[in-house]
Amino acid sequence: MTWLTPMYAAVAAGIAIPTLLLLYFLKLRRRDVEVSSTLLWKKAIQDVYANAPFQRLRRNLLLFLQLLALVGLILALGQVQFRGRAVAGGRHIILIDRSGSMAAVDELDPRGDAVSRLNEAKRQAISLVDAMSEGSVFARASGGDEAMVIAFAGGAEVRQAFTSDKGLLKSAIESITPTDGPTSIEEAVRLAAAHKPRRSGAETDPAGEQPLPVTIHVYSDGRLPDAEKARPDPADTVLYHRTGKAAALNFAIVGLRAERSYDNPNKLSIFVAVQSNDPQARTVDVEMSIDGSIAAIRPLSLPGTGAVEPPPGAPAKEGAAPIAAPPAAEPVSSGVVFQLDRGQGALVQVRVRSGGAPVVGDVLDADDRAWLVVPPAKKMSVAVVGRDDLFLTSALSGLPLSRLDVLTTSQFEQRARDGGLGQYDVVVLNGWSPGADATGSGTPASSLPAGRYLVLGAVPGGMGITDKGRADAADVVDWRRDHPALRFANLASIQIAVSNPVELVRDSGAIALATADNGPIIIEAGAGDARAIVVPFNPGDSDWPFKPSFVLFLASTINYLGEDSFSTGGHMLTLGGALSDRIPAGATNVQLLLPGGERQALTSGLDGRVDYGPINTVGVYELSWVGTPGPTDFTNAAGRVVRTFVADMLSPVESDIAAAERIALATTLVQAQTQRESESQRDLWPWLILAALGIAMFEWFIYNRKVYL
Amino acid sequence: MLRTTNPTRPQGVEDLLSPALIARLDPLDLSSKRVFFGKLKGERRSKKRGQSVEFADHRSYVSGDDIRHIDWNIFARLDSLFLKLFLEEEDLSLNIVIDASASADTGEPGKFLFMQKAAMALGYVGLVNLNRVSITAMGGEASGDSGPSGEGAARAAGGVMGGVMGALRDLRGKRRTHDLARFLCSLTPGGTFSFREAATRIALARRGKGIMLIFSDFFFKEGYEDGLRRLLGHGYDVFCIQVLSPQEEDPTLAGDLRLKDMEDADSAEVTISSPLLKRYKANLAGFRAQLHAFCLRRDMTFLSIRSDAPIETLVLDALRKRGVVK
Repeated sequence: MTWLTPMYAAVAAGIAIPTLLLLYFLKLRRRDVEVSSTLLWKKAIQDVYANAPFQRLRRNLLLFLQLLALVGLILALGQVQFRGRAVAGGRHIILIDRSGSMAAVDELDPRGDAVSRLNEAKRQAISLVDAMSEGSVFARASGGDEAMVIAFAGGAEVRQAFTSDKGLLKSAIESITPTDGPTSIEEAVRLAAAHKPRRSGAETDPAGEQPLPVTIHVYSDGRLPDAEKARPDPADTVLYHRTGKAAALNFAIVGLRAERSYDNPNKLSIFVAVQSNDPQARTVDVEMSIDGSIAAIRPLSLPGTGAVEPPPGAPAKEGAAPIAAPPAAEPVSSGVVFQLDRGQGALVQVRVRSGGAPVVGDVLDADDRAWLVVPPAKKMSVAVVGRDDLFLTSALSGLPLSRLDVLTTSQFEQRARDGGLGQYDVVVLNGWSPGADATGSGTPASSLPAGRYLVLGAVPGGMGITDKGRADAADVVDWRRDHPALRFANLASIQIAVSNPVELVRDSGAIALATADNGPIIIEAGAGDARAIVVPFNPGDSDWPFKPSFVLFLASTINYLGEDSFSTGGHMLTLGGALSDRIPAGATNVQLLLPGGERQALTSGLDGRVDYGPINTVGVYELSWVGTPGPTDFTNAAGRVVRTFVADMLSPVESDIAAAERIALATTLVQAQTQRESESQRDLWPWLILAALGIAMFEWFIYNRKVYL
Repeated sequence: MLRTTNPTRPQGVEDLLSPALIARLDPLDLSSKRVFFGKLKGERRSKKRGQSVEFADHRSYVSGDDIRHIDWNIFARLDSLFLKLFLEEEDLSLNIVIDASASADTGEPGKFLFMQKAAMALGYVGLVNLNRVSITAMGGEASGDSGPSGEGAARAAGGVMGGVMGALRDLRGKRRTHDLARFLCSLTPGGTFSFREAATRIALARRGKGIMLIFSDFFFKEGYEDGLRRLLGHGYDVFCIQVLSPQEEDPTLAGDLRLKDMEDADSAEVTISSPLLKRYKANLAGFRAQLHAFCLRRDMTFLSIRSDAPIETLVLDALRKRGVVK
């Protein structure tokens, strides 16, 4: 119990209680009443006195009641808090996690209804605000607590700056809405540190401004993957108010990918990864819908995590030391593949179900569904420009291309001027790049026209690659085996007779995919709307064309570059990020249909760019306009051009919703507050005043009902 | 219980008896379960044979009998002398005693007014039937205006004597109704008295035998037993009619009070409470039961009535059931 203004209470008690007692010890002034006879009254008094037990006590019942009411009022004046900490004059920063996992419905409100973790966190935060000291009753402006509210998910935002106005704080907390996004506490802690109030010492030492220590309340389920990066000031107190249960079950789609067969693009494979944190093995149904109608349902067996659950209803041993809860087992995941023949594009929706209904016990809905925009099947069209090379053309002709043109440099430049390059998905520049002849130094000044390029034996200008001229033999040292262009390609045994060392300009965005002993030999670079994979040395000066890796490299690179402009990635939105895309010029009446069914009118910029954000909810976002369609757009029955985007959670971290017992921040390890502690700071004074009022009314009742003598 | 605020003081017989009540009282007559010998001929049938039109019996003539009572028709038939015996009609003595102490002047409606009206009604019944009606007011010397006054007091020898404030004796006949009313109206309750002494004086002063109706609350601190015994001693058919105000039966007091007895200035400090009121009511019931038992043992009749009850209820119902009137 904490007294926020004990002095007031002490002074009031010192004056009021003795006064009451003094008044009570004064002789009771009785009213004179003439009666016909006192005969029966005297007898009655004697009888009642003789029969009444605890006569003195009963006689003073009114005094006791008055004292009780007085004590209640004095306690109220002292602003007693129940089990509260010493928070007088404190500063609080309330960080409320609103990431996807906070939408899990595994908490109960005081009425026993299931609520989401975020709602529970908001309720706890509001009770913290309620418990904040407001200064004294007579001088509310001084000595009160202050707090600020920060909501964080993928990013953090200040919802309410420091104030002691509880109404503002509560409405700021109430206004926090859930998102399906990831969690990042680091930004929130940084934001909190930036807003910390500073001790004003400017008059004496402007540099000596010290931030005042604050109490940071983190309302979260503790699933904070970047917690170790968060560095709160060691002087600050961090309290972790945990919401959610460690044993909360969740089945989530954590991976969704579509891939067309290379040799038969009509064959579409959809890979779905499902994660479970159920200790027991479960079988769930994975349901796939294409364009809104269910296409397939596959059962998927998920192994149990093996976490030991206490038997339900097992009584805790009396007096036994509490056994630390076993660490939550890592969630397990399993996958399922749908294969179908579908050449045209599709909007694929995948759901985790069980027997046609949501999985029993699953507390988080947002990650039970995922969407994917699959583009129509398409074969690449490729143009080869420059030196005629037998190896190159043979290798390319073996690939399943829709078109393979061999252009001269002048044809290329002509088509670059009249926009004819747009018909090629990938242009292979063999030993030549635009502008190379002009300088003669091998370092062209102009960049490539818009498009996707594989540049062999040349270094295009303006892409952050500095040509250092020809050099001696080189050996491949390392390459990025995980890059899609180099997948399956083994570059280890390549012998380069004449190398062409280059240097990458720092911060130009160019990255080396393969490195020889004298520098990068395969570089991915981009400038403007042009993207290129550059091989500076001439493959003909090496034994690479004789190796299978050359063909694999060509195939992967053309596939990678060609799909780059036409992949699902362009239609995937990042939760917490923004939708930003370019629509054809001249589009009017641009609208975005949100997952909730709401329509948002957007305005396109001069270059056709439309932006909408932040994306907080998973689902399908339909961008539609009146105008010309792009290559991947379709026109609906209403004559509007529609481009579909999807936002998915697909986050193994966010879908692992077991609430954590502690948060390991960079500077401190914070243990979760127990529920009682977090709810403890309750103001008692309204109740005390109510009790005093009740007692006064009871006293009046007794006085009138003559219950005591 | 509390002093009657703005007490109604009747001014004449019309204030005490309404014409409607008179009409209902006219057919009534006094009665007693005991038989008393009257002094004068009255309208009450006596068991004593005497001169009246009510035939009772025959008996043989003996020498010295009044020959006027010989039934000559029988002599003609039987040739022997028989006397006709008639029931004697005689009067009854009605003695009304009324408590005119200060405590009588309490309650809403006032107890004293009720007693005045009851005495008037019963006295009227007695007068109409040619009974001897006496009325005695018990009371005491009171300070100020509430002292005994009036014709009745003047008639009593030298003011209040031994608790008797005044008395009217041997009223007879309907024409004395106004005298009775005047006496009753002249009474102003006040003071205190000793019931024992008053009863002694009444017992000594009365003549003959008859019915005695005592109107009082019987809250005598010295006790009512002695006084009642004295009244009974002379063979009177005694009726104790306890008149209580509604406030005495169900007190409406509240708070911290000093209760002052209006007769003897005795006081009791009380804080009115539910148990106290319960106890008071229990005591009142006990007091009443004790008085009732006392009366029953001594062949007296006890009756308790509230001052807010109609006079008709007392006269035509309660007293009729108990045989005082018929």
